[in-house]
Amino acid sequence: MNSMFAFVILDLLSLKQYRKVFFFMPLLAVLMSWYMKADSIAAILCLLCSMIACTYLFSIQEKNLLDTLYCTLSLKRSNIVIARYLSVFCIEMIAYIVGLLLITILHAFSIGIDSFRGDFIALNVGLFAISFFVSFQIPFFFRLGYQKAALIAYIPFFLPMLLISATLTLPFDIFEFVRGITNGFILYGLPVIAGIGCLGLSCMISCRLYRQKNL
Amino acid sequence: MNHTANTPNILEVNHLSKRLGTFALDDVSFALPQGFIMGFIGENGAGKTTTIKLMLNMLAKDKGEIKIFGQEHLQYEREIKERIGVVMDSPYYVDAWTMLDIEHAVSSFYSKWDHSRYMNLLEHFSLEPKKQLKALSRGMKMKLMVAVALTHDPDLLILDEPTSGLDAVARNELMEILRIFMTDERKGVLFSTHITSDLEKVADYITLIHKGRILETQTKDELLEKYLVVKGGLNLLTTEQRQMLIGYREHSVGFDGLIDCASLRHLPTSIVTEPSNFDEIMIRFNMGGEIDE
Amino acid sequence: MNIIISNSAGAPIYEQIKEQIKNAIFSGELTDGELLPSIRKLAKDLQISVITTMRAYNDLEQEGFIVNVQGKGCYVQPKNPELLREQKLRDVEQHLLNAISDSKLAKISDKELMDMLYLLLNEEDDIEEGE
Repeated sequence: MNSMFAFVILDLLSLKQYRKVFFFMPLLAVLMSWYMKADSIAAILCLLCSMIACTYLFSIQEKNLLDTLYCTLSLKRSNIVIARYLSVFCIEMIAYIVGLLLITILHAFSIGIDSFRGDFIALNVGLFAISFFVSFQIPFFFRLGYQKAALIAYIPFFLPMLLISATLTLPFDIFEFVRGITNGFILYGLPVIAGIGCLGLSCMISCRLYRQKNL
Repeated sequence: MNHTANTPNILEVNHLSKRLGTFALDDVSFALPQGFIMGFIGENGAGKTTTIKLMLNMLAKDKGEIKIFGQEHLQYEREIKERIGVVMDSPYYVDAWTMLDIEHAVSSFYSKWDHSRYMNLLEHFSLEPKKQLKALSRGMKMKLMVAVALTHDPDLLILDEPTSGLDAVARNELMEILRIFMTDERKGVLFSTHITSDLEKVADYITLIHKGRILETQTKDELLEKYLVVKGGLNLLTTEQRQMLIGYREHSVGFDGLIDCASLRHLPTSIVTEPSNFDEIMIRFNMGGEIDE
Repeated sequence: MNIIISNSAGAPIYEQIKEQIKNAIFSGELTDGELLPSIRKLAKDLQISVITTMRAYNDLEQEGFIVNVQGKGCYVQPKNPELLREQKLRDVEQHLLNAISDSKLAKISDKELMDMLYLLLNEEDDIEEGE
């Protein structure tokens, strides 16, 4: 257990060279929110940022031959995978908290037109969406390596783009549907739990794939 | 006072086989007793790195067993990896990391990690702790890897071509480090290289691998005593005798080749003999000498 | 004690080490009961394999020159004059046999060989007297 947490620290350390980028993201998020008069943009941007950070973990791993490093440490392969998912979850949580802080601050200054509730829903649904995308991508990264998997891994992004361009009202319809739900637990908790569920399932698949991989 | 009779093996490989595309490791077996350095030599692509990767579980074996510190390497993977230090031909850390970052990243994995020892080693190698990995020269990178590998007081050092691309001075420095490491008789070193001159001074045992199979594994002295270079004039040898030579090479004014000492008596006494060295042995076996089973 | 080995000299390295230690014992440079450098330290200093130094020490112990005390190291055995003389006689005999075999190869006659021996012995005496 100890070694898995040590691995999360290792992962976060490997993002060291991008820390300036991640530092300025919230500022950019605030600027865009202010410009577009929609606080939820800030939350979405933070979450997008976390997704990029997660993919960076894999590109850095491949570029710096970190697979070799992992194999010299006293960790089993499946523990490496689980620890990686823990890192991913950690990164998402950081983005979530920052996003939450941002929408709270922005609301305090009454910048956006939407209600806090709406933004919070956007944050939670966004978290689910990010978790879902990342859960789809990671097994490919583990199996094929970052370079080879990069193209396949970004396919799920094009689907929503297609959907949105095909039916412009779809995201709003979904949004309206979601806003209609009054049960707090379902509204706020379910997306988060579903996101974790996706990550868990993805983790099991990745363990299988990475265990058999020739490094 | 035969020290090697009852010493346990720090590393044991038995009938290891692995197929990787067109290349195959076939029935590889050798053992390194505690307290000695083993040179693992062979031409590029012979299977040295594959064997080491199998030890580290970077590849899954098809057949055979690997024991490190007497323990099966998969079942006791975690205990074993705490006690081994690994040095490769290039660093496997994030190149933006400083030496202090590397410590933060890996120290928690080793119960015997000692910060002051790390600092002392860095100082000894003239490495600035705050410098980034990518700013280091090739020789300094090697020393850094060695520093990290030695800091947690490993019992077995595994080095895979650590000296390729280094000048003689840097290589000699590494040999000196290994000699100091080996003054403790409970340690062991597996040193894979194709620069055989590094081993001539420091190795105790030599394992020679060629096209995925072990040709020889014994003490360095025994190996060098076993093979001799032979030379003679054209037409000195019969066809039968020629076939006994390894890497037989004929030229306009004579021939040369390598022979197993045991077969020397079959050759004419007028033949000229010379001691061999590792390079010679490796080259001759690569020249397509048939291995008599 | 100094030990200097040569990679290009004919004799195997462990033989050279043995010779030099024996000579040091004969000459008194190594005294009875003196502790020899450890096998590993010697290997490290001479930059040779530990197995080579082990072999040298093994042989020396077998021949009665040194003794290994478990956990402490190798010590010089008290000099046994008989043993030393016997050893040296064997060495001289071997050297003479080598000289004889070489002379035969070069077709040097027995008389020539004997003359050479006397000449050299006289030279040695002259040098000693000169000192």
